[in-house]
Amino acid sequence: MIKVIVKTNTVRGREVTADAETTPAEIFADLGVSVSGTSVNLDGVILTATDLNSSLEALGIHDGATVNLNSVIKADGALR
Amino acid sequence: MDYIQSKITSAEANTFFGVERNSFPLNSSTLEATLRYIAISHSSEPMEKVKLFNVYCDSFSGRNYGNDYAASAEEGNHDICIYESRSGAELPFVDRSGWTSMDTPPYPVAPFLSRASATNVFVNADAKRVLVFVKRTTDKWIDLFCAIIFRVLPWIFPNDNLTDQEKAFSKAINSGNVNAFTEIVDSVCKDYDFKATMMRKVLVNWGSGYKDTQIRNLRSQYDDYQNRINSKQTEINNLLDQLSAINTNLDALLNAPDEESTALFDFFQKHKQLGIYHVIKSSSGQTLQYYVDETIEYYDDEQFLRLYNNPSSFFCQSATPEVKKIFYAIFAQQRGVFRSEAMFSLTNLSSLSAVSGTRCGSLNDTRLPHPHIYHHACLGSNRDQIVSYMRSGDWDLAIEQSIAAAKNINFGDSVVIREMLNDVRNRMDTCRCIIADNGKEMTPREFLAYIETNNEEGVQNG
Repeated sequence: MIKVIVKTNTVRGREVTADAETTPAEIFADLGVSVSGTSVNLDGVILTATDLNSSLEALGIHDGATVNLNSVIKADGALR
Repeated sequence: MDYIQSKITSAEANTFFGVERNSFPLNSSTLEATLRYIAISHSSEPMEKVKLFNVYCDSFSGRNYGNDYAASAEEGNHDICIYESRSGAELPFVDRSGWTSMDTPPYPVAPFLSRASATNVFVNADAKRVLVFVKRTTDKWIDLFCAIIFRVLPWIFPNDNLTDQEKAFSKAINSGNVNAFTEIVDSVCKDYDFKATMMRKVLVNWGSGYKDTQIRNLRSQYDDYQNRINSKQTEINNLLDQLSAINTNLDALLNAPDEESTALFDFFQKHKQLGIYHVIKSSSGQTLQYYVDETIEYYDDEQFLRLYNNPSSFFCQSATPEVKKIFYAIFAQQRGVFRSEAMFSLTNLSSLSAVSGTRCGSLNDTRLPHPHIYHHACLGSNRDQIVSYMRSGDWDLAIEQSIAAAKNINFGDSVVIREMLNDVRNRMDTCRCIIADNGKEMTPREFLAYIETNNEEGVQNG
């Protein structure tokens, strides 16, 4: 099993246990967190839309690992 | 004549006209009454607007010439100037242009007055000025002057046209008939209530003048206090901002987990887009300047297309045709991405900010400076997120928000976009800041050739 520590704007430091086939999208969905309009990264690597729906194993995360899955809002630079 | 008591020189009339008794010319109520009589009877204005004669009395010496007095009379605002010799000086004579000496027929005024005291009289009809030099102004002389005054005011009495009343006036003075004189001079104001008019003039709106002045003063004071309050409020707001910043840092420190000795290192190890530029140590802790090496991929493509398709937009007005093509290929067609470098500053684990004008130095040939960050240190709405994360001790989310900021470009910010267009234009051949969709890094010029070639091939291949 893989320990995933999830941090978003609304969820801070929630630990989730997932198997290698779980996708990041499923993890967020189980927590009731929307990642629409956010930038998601898994242990520092920014995930594309395809990556979000790829299994943790496909993303290079193996059983027994502890990873950070973070999501921050895609905000805009200021208007002058 | 003896001292007269007339309505036209009464205390109420004096107050009405604004002339005090002790300021009568030559201290003569006869002369003042005469002058007021003539002014009122020959004015078409209502009593309140009648302009009285302005008489100047002084002494003369032998040092000044008559023409000097004449020039002064022309320039001044006195209708009649009477100069008396106190030291027995010889009477001045005036031969200045425009002045007539009243010493010969048909108006031998000076000889007439000289019966009482040696006199020279000069008149300037165009300037409407009378100049009199007299040895001594006795009561007799004053009476004679009042009797012939019509002769020295030709602009009022042209061609000697005197009314019967005016003729009677002269006769009354010559004969010393005080009653007749008084009756005649008062005839021009016998039905006029000087007292009531004077009271009305002074007392009506008495309070409003004061009220208006007070209103102006109070408004001025109000504005002054309001400005001082606004100034204090600005000062307070600045202090509150500083307090909020301190509070944010304090919260972040209080909420920062203990034993963080490897956490930041681990974080930077995992986030390959982060690099350390500089560490500054001070009494308040440590400041880490780090750079984010990322691709610009967060933007509003519809916003870009609106600019691109509007020929009068700032984008179309500012972009060269080449740069415009490059931007279209990247932001509309996703044929490539810009690589950029953005610098940030992390102090302890409590505050994070953008840094302008700074690059790490090793990416100048392969990265654009991030326009929002490099040119303006501007985080926009990323700022609030970063502050919130820091306050709750989530420095990792704060740094990741800075990464998101480095991936963002706001096409609504015309200043920043113009700067980015310039940055690309100035690096057409020198900076491999574009990753094309074939995975290769290219300069803007190479990318332009790439997309143009691929477009042709696409056309050829149908």
